[in-house]
Amino acid sequence: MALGRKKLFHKEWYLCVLFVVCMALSAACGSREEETPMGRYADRDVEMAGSGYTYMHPLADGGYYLFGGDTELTRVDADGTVSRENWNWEENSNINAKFSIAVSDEGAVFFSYRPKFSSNEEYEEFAEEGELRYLYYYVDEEGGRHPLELYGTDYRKGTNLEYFAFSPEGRLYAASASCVYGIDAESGEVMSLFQTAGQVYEFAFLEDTMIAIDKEKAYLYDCAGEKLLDRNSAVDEFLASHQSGRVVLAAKDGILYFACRTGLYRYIWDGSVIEQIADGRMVSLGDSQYTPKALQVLENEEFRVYFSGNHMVEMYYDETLPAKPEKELVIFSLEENGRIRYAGQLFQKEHPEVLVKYETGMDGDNAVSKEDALKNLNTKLLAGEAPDIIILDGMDIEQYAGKGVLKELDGFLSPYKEEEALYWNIVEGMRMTEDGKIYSVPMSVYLPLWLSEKKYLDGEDGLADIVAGMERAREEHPEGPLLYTPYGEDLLNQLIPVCLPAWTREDGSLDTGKIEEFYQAALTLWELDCAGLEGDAREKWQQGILQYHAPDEQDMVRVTDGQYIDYWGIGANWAQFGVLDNMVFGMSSIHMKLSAFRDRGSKEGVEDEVIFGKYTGQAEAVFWANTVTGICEQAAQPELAEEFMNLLLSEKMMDKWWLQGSYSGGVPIRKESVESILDIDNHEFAQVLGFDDKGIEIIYNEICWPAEEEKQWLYQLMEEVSCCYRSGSMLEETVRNIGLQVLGGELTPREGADKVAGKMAIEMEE
Amino acid sequence: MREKWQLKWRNKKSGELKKSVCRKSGIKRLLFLLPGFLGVLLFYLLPFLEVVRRSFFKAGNHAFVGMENYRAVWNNAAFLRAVRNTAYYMAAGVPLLMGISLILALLMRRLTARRKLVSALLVPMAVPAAVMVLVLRILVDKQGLINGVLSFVLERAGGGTAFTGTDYLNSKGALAVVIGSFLWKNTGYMMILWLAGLAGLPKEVEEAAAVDGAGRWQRWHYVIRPQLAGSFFTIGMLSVLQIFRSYREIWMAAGSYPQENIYFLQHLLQNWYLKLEFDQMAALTVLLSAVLLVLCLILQKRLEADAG
Repeated sequence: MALGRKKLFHKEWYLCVLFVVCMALSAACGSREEETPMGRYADRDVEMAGSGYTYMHPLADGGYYLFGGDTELTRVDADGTVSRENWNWEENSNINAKFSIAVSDEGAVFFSYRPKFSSNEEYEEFAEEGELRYLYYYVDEEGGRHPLELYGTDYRKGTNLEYFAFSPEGRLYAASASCVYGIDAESGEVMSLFQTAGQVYEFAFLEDTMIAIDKEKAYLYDCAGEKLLDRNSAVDEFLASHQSGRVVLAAKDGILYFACRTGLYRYIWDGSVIEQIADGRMVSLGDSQYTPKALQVLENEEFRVYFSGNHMVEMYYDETLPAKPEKELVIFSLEENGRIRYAGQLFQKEHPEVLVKYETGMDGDNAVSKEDALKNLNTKLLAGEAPDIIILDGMDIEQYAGKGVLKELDGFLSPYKEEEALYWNIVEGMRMTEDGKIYSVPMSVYLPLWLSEKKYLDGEDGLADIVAGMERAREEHPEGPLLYTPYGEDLLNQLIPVCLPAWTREDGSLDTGKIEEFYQAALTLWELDCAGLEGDAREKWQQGILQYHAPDEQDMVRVTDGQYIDYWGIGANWAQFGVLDNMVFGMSSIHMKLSAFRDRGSKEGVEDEVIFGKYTGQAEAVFWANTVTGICEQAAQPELAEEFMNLLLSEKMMDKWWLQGSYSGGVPIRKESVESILDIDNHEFAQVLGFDDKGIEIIYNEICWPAEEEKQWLYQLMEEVSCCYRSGSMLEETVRNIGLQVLGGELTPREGADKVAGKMAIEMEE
Repeated sequence: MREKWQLKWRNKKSGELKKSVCRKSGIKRLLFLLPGFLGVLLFYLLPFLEVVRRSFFKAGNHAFVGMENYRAVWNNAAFLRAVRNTAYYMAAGVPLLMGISLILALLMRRLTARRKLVSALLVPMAVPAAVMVLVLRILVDKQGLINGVLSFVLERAGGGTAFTGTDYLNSKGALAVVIGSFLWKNTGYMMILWLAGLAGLPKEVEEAAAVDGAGRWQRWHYVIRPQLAGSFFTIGMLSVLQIFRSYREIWMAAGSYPQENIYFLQHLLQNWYLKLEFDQMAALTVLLSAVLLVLCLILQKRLEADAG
């Protein structure tokens, strides 16, 4: 027994010694200098054979077809030769808009479309079988055009087929929301093949097996044996974990390839592992601007990816690039910011030696609250793992600056001041009151504006003018709403941005008098608005049951042509407040839509009556900072962080972002960019879409660009603003919550203001 | 003589052997304890020491500030408010919880259907926090059940008088609501602990006291209560800890800035964390730990003195 104990004791020692040796060995391994592994995928842009394409069909020989709503079928051979099929579409005036498209290897085309109607009778006849149904069209290899009437024993007429694909043998397949069909393109006969849980949106063919995928699953179908095959768990798992974005497929030589936002993947058929071969962050796949729509496998494991927006890249393996970049630039924002993701992609392309990591606190896929996201960030800061760049939208900038998290930017911004490149009044508006330094800079700003008939809102004396104007409007229009604020919260949300900066005194204390005044004005406006909505009219309006439109003879209706539903919401009420969020297509706040800036005064007869005006509340010259960016004091890569900031403020980024179709997000703070955006004569956009009250017809309104005088007005407005409204503060939330009680009559404005003071007392004490 | 010497030698030998065995088994015990001790050291003691260290430094630039953080905490009005509210909550909640659960345990220990009742009383403990908050809201909201019943009764009594309800969690009665939910959630569990304590008491002593003519009160005061001193300490400590653990429900129901009388120390700590007041947070944590430690020691001494 004693011997046994002794042996056991020895064993323990042996184990200890073994552990120490292992640790020592692993430490030694770690200390050895490793060679940087080289080689990773990169991409290059492909020059497109034309514009307007929305669909790409890869060919086995390395060429591809391009097709779109209003384009000819274009074939691009592997050597780059372009040939176009001119089908003279204009001859067939019945096609209004094409939707899903499929092209075969031989050049046959199948697509769904909505027709045009020349008379009400024609529309009514069509609508009898389902007004939202598609029609189908087949163009054979020779260019012969065949409008198809689909039929089949297990196909219900009117069922919309959303996605199509030709197999390499030329068989046509289609997917509805819950079923995959085979179609005889010559006769229009439809055969149901199998049911699906979700909408199948992508097909690939691996020999005789068709792989059809929806958001969560892959369906495998034996085309030769005409039977559904067993599921593939590896593919299903992959799709389930990539539900948030679109996945496109391609198959070649027994290998299935997947391309999606996170990267490019390879799967040897029937294996158990799907291997990532390119990281989406380091190629265009991760670019939030584009959604992958087609994938083509080329020779030597090179790839071609076609994206939305008629953009295409070729991915190739570059042995000279390090497999993993040596440096990392970490960017953090509370919520996804498309502009920052785009800038990250640009930066990534310019710096292949850097890995740009864009992290969001609340990424939409999980239920992380703002508070939890901030706690996570603070934990990282506490642990010394600060990001390099913080996007401060929705965050308390003063707090982060005051605690030394943010780097002072006065020095960094001084060249911009000398250049006079930025609206310096806006940069100055970001200066902290506590220490007089600048820690953050916005990329763009929203400008508060109102839209109304001039006679109602023409003053600039703040809330008093608004109330007086609305009183006049109510006298003239006793019925219907005055403002586009179905809910009390909408009204508060529209008033708060131009009033909030006035509620805090210079010493940081709360001005309850101002809050009472705010509540009084909000209450008066609410009561005036409610006076025109008696009984349950407001509730019906909120539910969208009741539509308010001004009578035909009223001027405001003419803004959008009387026969159509008021596209901009004007005419349903007499004044709208908001911010200039979108410079080209129109102005919209987060709470409502306003009309297009360039449409101001563009309609005959209303130019003197319906106007935009500077919206002043209790605070003057307010702007709403957007994409507010700061550099972390503890940034691991401070030089890269500054370089990234320079990119954000560069003409390239500001112009490119807006010019590539993302017009929302306010007015850029770079002077030249504002001018460039308003110089829109050279831009392609010349129409807006609208729908008639049947919801069918798409109408095209002529767009009138803003006159020089209007542009100057906007530039002047940009020069004037100086007071920054920062959303998401505790004070704002408290005033909004208690404001609802004031509007509901539970509290008087005085009681409301006192309650706000009581609630804020603890926060201020802290 | 030889035999005597042999006996002495044998005793000595056996003593050494025993010592040697003890030493070895002591080492073994230590080895068994080591992982646990290392865990406590790594995950509790060392981080706590780091918190103590941080409490003397400024959060932003890491400059040594001595007692400045402690002074800042002490002079912070929100801290004083939170301490006062937490003290009220504890002073009302802990005795009520212990008292009610003890009374229930005493009533139930002779019941035959005890098990089913115990299970029923344990249900609140198993209810997820979110559900509990929902139930609370249904009860005490402005359009809640309590106001609904009151409205119904008052309208009947007053002949249709309009009754405007109160949002109790945003009124001065918020503390009472919080204490009520705390009792609802924890009474069953504490009662089980009391029942376990009561089950461990020898019945003979109580029976002997009854035979000697002691009444119920005398049996409780002279026989049962002194023997429950150990349970009293454990349940008391657990009740205090439950007070601190109930923050999650309060936060979910009333947010980071609730009605001022239910603003507790955890609210302050959470808000400071969001506001990056790490230095003051560290100082407050050290203060709070010290207070809890002193409280434990006092309670333990008091109970030991009672038992002695």
